[in-house]
Amino acid sequence: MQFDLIVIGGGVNGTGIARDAAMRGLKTLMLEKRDVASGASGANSGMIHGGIRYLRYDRKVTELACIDSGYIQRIVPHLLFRIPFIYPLSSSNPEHRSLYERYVHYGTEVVVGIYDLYQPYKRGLPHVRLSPEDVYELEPGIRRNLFAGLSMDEWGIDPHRLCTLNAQSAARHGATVLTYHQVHGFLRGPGGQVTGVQVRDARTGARAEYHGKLVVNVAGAWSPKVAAMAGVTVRMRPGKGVHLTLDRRLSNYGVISSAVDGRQIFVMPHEQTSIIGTTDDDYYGDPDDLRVTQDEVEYLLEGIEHVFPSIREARILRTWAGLRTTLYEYGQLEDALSREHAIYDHAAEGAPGLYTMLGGKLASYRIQSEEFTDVASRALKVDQPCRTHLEVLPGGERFPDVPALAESYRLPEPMVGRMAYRHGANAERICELAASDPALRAPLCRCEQTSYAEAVYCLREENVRKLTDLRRRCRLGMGPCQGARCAAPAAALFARERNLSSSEARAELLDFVGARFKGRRPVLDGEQMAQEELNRGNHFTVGNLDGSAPRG
Amino acid sequence: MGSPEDAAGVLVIGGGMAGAMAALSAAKKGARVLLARRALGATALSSGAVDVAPDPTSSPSDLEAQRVPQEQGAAAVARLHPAHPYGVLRAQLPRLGESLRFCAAALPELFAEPSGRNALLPTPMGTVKPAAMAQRAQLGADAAALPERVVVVQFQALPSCDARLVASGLEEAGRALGRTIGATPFTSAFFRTVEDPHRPVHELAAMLDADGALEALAAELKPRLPAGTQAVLFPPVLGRTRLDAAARLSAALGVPCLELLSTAPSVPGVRLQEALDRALRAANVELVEAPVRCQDLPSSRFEVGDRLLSAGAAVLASGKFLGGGIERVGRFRETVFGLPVFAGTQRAGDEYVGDLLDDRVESDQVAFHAGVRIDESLRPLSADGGPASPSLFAAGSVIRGYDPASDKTGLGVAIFTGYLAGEAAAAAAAIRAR
Repeated sequence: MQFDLIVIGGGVNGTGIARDAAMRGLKTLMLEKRDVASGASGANSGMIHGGIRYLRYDRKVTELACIDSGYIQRIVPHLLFRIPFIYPLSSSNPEHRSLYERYVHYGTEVVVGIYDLYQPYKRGLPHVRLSPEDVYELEPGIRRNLFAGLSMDEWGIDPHRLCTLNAQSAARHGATVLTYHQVHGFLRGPGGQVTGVQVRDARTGARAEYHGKLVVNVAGAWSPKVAAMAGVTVRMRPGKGVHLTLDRRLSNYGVISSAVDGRQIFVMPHEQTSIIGTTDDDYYGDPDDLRVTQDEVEYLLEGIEHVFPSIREARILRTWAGLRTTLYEYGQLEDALSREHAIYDHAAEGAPGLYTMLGGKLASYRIQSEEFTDVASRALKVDQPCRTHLEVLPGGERFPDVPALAESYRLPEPMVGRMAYRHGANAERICELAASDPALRAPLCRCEQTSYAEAVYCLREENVRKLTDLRRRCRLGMGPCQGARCAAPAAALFARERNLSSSEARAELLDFVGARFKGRRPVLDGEQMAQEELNRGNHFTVGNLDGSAPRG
Repeated sequence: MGSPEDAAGVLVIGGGMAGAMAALSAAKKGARVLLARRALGATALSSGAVDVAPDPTSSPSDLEAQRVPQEQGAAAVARLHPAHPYGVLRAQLPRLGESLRFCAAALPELFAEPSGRNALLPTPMGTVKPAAMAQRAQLGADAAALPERVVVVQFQALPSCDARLVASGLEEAGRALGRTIGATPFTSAFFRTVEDPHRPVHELAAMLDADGALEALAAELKPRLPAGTQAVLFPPVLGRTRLDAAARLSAALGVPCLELLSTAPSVPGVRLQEALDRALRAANVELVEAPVRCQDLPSSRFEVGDRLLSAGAAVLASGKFLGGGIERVGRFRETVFGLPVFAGTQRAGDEYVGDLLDDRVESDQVAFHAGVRIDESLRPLSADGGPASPSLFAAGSVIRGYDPASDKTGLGVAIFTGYLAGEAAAAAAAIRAR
């Protein structure tokens, strides 16, 4: 099959480019070796923040992120939620601050003040200086050693859904989106021209070749590996970022703290949980084998304890890690590395037709995608303007009236609320499903208020190939029980929708349960030990999953 | 504080299967027994059936091999895993069958006398699970004995019990056993209000306890059942407190009505727990809901809630993490006596938990072996390697050496060790009294 553009990678850049290219009329193929948002695009802090940190080095990155973040808000308004942050300005003696503390406090306020200039781009509010009493009232858990506090406005987003919706929109505009398809080689023409890719279907093992006029490598941390298959070199300096998820919203606001090495880290409410993040360490290992270590967990907890002492009693559900796709630079600390993105044309290296786009931010994915699609359009002599900032993503047309929907379909309002958050206007279609089949009214994941109807909608509309994909569509198994209750019923539902046999369903279930466990392993403690015993009891003592099925 | 109340010959700490068996076996030996528990534990969350031992020497997917006699399976576990409670108590393992019969006899309304071989009971995950004893409606669903034409009922308000998956799993199990099972999924709209899909299983089960409910269910199903149906398999909600629900439904439908095993939250698990409580009361065991503290082992003085009492002997049957007998908050700890906790061959402390956990969730996980080490007389060992007290015994999952999720010996160990510990405690208390 002949495409204009083949996109390798289903992260935010891959899905973003696929959407933009398809909207401009390019015949587009997107290939992703796992599910969309399986790499860094799904393992970030879940914010389209402007990057106040980068003001110090990369003012342009901040500006671009803020501008694009404003566009993202407009195209997918339902998926955004405001997260106000507090910068606690602490002092060992707030009455008599040391000169150094004054310097830090002043500097922080200057930076936050400059950031105010960019806030209007993303509908952010200017900062407010809070008295210690204000801060203690807003955030009672904070350590009582403040001179003042500064507020800063940011926005949270479900990054998995952002990618899902971009891929869905791309497909609606005619793109072919193939997840679980791994590129294992390039097709070459005269002069080394890259003319297509060799692909393996990760689920069936089937092999295929696809021809394309242009190929873009947006495989994130896997970009060097992909480039190497074409005989070209892509250098990056991946930075490992680790996060912890708590079982509930611990703080009311995002709270910034500094870690033992002075780096900024944070704890923030995110959906039904709180997230602590993040580390930034050079990573030299295999991106397919990213593990969280005890040191990284301790580094984050120690850093948050500094401003939020009760963190030690919090219930940590799991850990997760992603690799920042930072551009290569020698002689810089990880934190100081530029978050700029770059587009490489590999023609000069003997691989014309192949491009790589690296780096960048979630918050500026759309403009990065636009930039590359401009390059591709010029090369293909297509003269269509970008419209990704004008046309909403699926569900973004309007936000439904949640109480009215709940009332008319007689569904619990919190359930409809989460549905509307995740699906925007399409929540109405999900309610219709629930009305058509009484069995679909039931809650599937009680922790995340995901109904059977919502899961069925995702299974039918959102390119779910494996049970684990459902986690990225409707947060299945992401709550405190970590799938103890919902994983098996979801596997049954998946099997029903896909007409799988019981042994295929068991393999999917074991895969789901196993993937969730890997993130819990480094932090299993306290009450989560009991939760884990229950989880194991359900799946192995009763469900006998290990006894009956060879691992799929 | 005043002088201790002379309340008990034997104090049992923990009221799940292990504690209940210890209390009943001590009472049978003539001891005065007080059982103190904090709350419901893992037994009430169990499937309601008793797993004793599969055959660890053959592949778990070899279903015929899993129908092994339990004594044989347990003996193989003891041989392969010397640190497993069956291994430590190897010398007394011939009494395993006796302990199971004792349990069945104590719960006559729930369990029949164990047949000796494992039954293969269907689960909501489309699997079958080997179990030595089960509640009567569960036992009838043994894939090795089930009639050929089975209907699997799905309540539309309870989609988590998916009849299609269960039916497909039963047919597959039948094939693995060299027999034909034809299982047909069948949807019932018996629970039909808009609230019903949101109800927890216990509420649905309680609705079936109401007068006339089972008859109404039978009336809904009977005219629509396929001709030639030989058994009907239901989600595990046939009666919250009524133990005759399945039998009455069978009478009304004219075919055996059977129940799937349950995951947690589990109605059959709560039935099992409540049957244990009834058996304890019938045996005149004093039941107290209170935490137990003891500062000065090896003395015999305990704080039970706000009572101070002395006991001739005690049985620690406080469970693992779910039961609360073992906890890990930064480090492993036995919660009543502060006994040393072992995981694997090592004494467990504040080591990194990730080192005790394999990457693959289904592996045998050392962190879940955590528990107290016992000698051949079920006495927990102190840090110096000797018994912590001559009159303290341990039973159930507070004992180290096995991951019940992986080796499927959980309730079997609870019954076996509870039975023996209760006897030993009664004997120790009797010696002390003299």
